[in-house]
Amino acid sequence: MSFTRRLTFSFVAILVLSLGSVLIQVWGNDTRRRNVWLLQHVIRTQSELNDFSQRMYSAHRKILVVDALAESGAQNAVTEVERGELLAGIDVLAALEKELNRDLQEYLEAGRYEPLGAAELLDHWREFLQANAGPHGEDLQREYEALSSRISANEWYLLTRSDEINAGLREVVSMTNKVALAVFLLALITTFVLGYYMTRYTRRAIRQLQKGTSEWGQGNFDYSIADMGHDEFGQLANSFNDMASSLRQAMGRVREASRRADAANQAKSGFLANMSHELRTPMNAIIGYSEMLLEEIAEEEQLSVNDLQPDLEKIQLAGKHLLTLINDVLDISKIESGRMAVFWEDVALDAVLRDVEITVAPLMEKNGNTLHCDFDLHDERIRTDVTRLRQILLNLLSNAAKFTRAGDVYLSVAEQREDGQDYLMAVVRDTGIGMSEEQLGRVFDAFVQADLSTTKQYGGSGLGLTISRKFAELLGGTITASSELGKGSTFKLKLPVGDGDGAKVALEKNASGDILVIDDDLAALDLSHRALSREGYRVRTASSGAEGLEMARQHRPDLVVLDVMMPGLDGWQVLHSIRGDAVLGSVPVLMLSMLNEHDLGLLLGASGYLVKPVESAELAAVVRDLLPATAVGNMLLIEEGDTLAKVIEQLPGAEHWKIYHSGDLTRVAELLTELPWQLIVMGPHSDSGQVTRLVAHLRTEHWRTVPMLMAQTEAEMLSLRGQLGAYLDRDE
Amino acid sequence: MPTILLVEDNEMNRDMLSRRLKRKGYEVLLAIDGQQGIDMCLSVRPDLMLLDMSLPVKDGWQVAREMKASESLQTIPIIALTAHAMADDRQRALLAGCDDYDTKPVDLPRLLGKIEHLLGVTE
Repeated sequence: MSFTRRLTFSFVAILVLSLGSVLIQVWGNDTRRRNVWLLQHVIRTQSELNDFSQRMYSAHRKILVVDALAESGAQNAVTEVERGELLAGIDVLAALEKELNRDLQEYLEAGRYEPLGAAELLDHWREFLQANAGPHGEDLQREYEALSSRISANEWYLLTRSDEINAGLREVVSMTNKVALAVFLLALITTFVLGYYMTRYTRRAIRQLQKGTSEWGQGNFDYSIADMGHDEFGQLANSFNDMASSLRQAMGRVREASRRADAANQAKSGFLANMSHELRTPMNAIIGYSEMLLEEIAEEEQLSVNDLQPDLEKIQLAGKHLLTLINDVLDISKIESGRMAVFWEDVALDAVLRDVEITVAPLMEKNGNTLHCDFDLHDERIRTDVTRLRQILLNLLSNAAKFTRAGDVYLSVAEQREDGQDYLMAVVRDTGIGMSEEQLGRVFDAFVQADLSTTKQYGGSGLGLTISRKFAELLGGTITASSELGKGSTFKLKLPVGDGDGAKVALEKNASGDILVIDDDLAALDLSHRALSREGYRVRTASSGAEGLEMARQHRPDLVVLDVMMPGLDGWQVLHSIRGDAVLGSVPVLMLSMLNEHDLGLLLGASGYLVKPVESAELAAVVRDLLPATAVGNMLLIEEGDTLAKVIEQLPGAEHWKIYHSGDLTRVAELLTELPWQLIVMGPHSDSGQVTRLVAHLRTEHWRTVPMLMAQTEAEMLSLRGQLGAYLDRDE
Repeated sequence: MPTILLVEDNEMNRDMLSRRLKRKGYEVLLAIDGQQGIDMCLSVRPDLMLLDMSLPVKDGWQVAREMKASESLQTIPIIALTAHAMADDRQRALLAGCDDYDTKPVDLPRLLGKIEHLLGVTE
């Protein structure tokens, strides 16, 4: 029962008691008044009866005298006047008797009085007085005595009645007093009990609540106030408990976030320390050998070039290792900062897999391993980022080859459908050295090859798996590993893939930027031209190094695609000239070559390097990656109507941005996943709920690096104009 | 000339540093892991030990601790030579018992200075 109800109930009880008491008092008063009234009348009747009795007696005496006088013969003993007085007295008595009889009947109960019945005697008296007729003497005496005894009886009855009424009165008074006292006591006790109970209960409840709050105050959020029923205190306690539980959850989230931040921080420091270590190791060889060579050259006159060669090769080897390391680290940082764009495209997966198979063949041979491939593909083309997929598969396979000697490496690729989504499942299994539980737990961490000795023994940057996993996550997929020490390891890649139709339309004609392709092979030139135009780039071509350099200086393209092997001015020379040019110096250059001199290319200043023959999709993907964001800035403008769109159009620098404008949030969601974005502008939109969700989504880790500008009101749109101006201008 | 034991698992670095030290006139002995380093100290008693920290079998910190705990080996000075060059790595190496610490890439004149200093102290 609730507290208020108990209180109300108790008050009602006291009220009812008091009401009862009042009623009893009223009844008592009434009864008393009635009894007193009755008593008064009974007493009056008594006195009247007394009076009547007196008068009767005196009349009787007079009649007796008259009778005695008549007996004695004195004829005129009674005068007419005296007779008249006597007769008048008898009439009065008759009236009195009538009145008395009425009173007796009214004030005494039936059977407890006797009617006076004086009428007969009075009539006889009249007869006697008027005519000296009727009974005389003795008869009248008898009649009078009978009447007298009736009067006495009635006197007694009246007396008894008055006693009874008196007793009744006392009884009523005593009863009403008792009832009043009882009600008073009962009310007192009820009030006391109620007060005591309420105080005790309230104190206990408050103490319980206080204990809870003080426990929480001390940080013990696991404390929960015991169940206190369903009354107000119980509800308060429940609210407190709910609050504590919310607090507990909030604290948990905060702690978890801070723990994660700490862990991330620690991981970052660890990564830095490791990177420093990994970079210093080859650096030590490079500096050490070069210093030693310089000393040898200075000190030994007879030194032949042949003597220097082995050490130079070591320097080169260490340098190359360093470069791989730096590239891997750059890849990781690019992914982590969100600058690694995903390029979704339709690819013939079978060709990609065959290519991967051929690429890893030499690695397999090196350790005497056999590669077994099992491809189970339904769709001819799937939609994925083929460059990343290739890189992941190559990483996993080269790892398998590296840690397996004279064993087997299995690559199985299949398509799977789960919950309405198509997945590409690739499993790389080897029969190599395997990993322990502990090693397995850290295998995807940066710089943690199973242990340091394996790094030394097996080489590699120790970043391959880290990068692979990050790529897989970038594509919305996962890589998992399982292993048994000495038996081999299995890596499973699961990537969501599209059907490879329709979706690509969105990408076509979307890209923008000026590209200069320099190649002496006209067929290749045409191929590149077509591949890039199809993406929406403005493509210029040059068929020789000299011509290309000339065009580059004239048009200042956003990117140069450069063939290495050309007659006359070859690719390297063109690259050298571009890098040395004050204006063109920073233009990204993508080198195409028959030879795999990827590292050398990058060393000489190329921004990217592809080995011919180059697939259109691959070329487009790499170009998209290399183009500076300024030239192909993708701006997503979300607004209903076109107010902002018109404003943005007129801002200087806007022409360098590819602006996607939509008010349809479903379309926006699609666009977000389809393209890399450099700027998101959020204009007025009526569906605020959806917009809030979208904004929350855009504030998540993945989107954090993409700047987002918001303008919902007129004023905000005005200030946005300034901000946007700064953005676009900066890119200019 | 004094004998220096170089404990280093990276082949290139081992080759490079040993040759440079030899050119400076030191006799150089090589070990490629921690355990081998300790074993060679016991058998050859070099005048000084150059100790890489990230070693297979038994790492450099472990080697330094064992050397300094052993009565017969604790007099051999140890220079930690490592690519672990973060702020607290020096402290870690010294705490493990190394007498001095130097980072890779090696600055040879500085390293030679430290070697000569330690050899001078012990002689």
